[in-house]
Amino acid sequence: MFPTKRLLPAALLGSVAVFLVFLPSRVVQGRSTPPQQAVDPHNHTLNIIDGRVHPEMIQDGQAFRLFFLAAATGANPVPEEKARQRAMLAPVRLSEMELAITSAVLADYKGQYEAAVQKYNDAVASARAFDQLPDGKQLGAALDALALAVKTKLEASISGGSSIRLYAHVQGEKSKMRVTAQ
Amino acid sequence: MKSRIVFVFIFVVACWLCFPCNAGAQQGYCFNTYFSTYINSSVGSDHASVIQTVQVSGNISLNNPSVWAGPLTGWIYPCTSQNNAMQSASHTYKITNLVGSTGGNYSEAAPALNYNTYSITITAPVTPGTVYSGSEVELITCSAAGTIFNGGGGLYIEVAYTRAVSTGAQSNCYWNQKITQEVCDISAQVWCTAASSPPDYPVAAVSSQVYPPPAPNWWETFDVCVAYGSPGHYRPWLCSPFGLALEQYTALPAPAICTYNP
Repeated sequence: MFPTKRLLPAALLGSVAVFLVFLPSRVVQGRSTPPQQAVDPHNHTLNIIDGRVHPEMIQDGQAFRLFFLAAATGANPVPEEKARQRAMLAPVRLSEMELAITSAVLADYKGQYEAAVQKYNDAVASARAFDQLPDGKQLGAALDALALAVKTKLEASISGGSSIRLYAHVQGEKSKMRVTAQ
Repeated sequence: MKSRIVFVFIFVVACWLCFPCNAGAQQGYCFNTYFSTYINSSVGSDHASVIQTVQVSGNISLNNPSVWAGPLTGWIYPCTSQNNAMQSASHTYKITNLVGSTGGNYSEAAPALNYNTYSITITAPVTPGTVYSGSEVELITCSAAGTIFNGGGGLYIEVAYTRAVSTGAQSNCYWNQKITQEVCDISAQVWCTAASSPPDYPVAAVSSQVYPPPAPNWWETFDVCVAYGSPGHYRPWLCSPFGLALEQYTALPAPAICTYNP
């Protein structure tokens, strides 16, 4: 009987240990979750990188994607779009010629961006099963890479000083960006 | 033998208790989010307006993890029902874009699994030096999973004005072949009254044309600055690294009343 008495507590302790090892993180996080978040059981907003606090954690590809997309216009912009673009690019102090080049490059970028998104959304719409869905993470990486390619193209078209100012300006703009951490 | 059976029973129960916790639909478990937001505030060409764009873009991807539910049930897929719901769900993108009394709340809906970009631009009239309360909020709610992204908040915004004078030193000079000009960073110091110093928008150097001569000897500069403090405790103002500089070639004027909102 002696071995059994020793084994039972050991089994209980072992089970508790195993349970704790597999304890899901949601339960652990719940202890320090602010009350306003605990009220809404469907609030899944997690892991946001705030550029105001950690601008260094926002990658250049993400930053240029966001900036270029906000600054870009369509192929035939209305006066309001032109004014917005001119205001956004004013800190870079582009010459009129550089501004025209940049405007054309960004319009082309917007077209490529929208085409990539449309292709993705079409694939989503035509998916008949879970395993036919396109890779959502891969699309983000592709759009970031496209933005960096456009940056390289722009740098080859504008002066060195303008390129430096563009890069510095976008670095500064990271403080106004937020991205979900991967 | 009996103790072994008890041990196995407790072990299986302990493991089984884990499954309901993992089965809940959670970000990072049943789906991953890839959202990003950006707010851009720029000075209008009239120096009396702010053009503010709030933009949110991104998508989600679904996961289909499998979990061992014991010898009787076998492998289960706790996210299947959630994933099925997602395929017919919609996401509502909500943006608040306010500068003073201009702007408001905006929203649009899109299929839940689509990549979506939603952007709102407003043009707000402003008086340089006046502080305006504003806000930018980006909220994405899913009809199947609740709030999946929540960003932004309140802020204060101003178009800051600073007069700056050249101290003469030039650096980072380069020849701009396209416009046949030599452009340098000309060191500068602020030229503001004592009561408006230090200005909200500090200026230490201005990139300006130096050839063909003459180089400017002072500038009127403007920049959009934002603050996340409260009235009386605005500082530090976060200004774009390069504001607008109007080059001046006339005699040096008196110090200006620069924008000063501590």
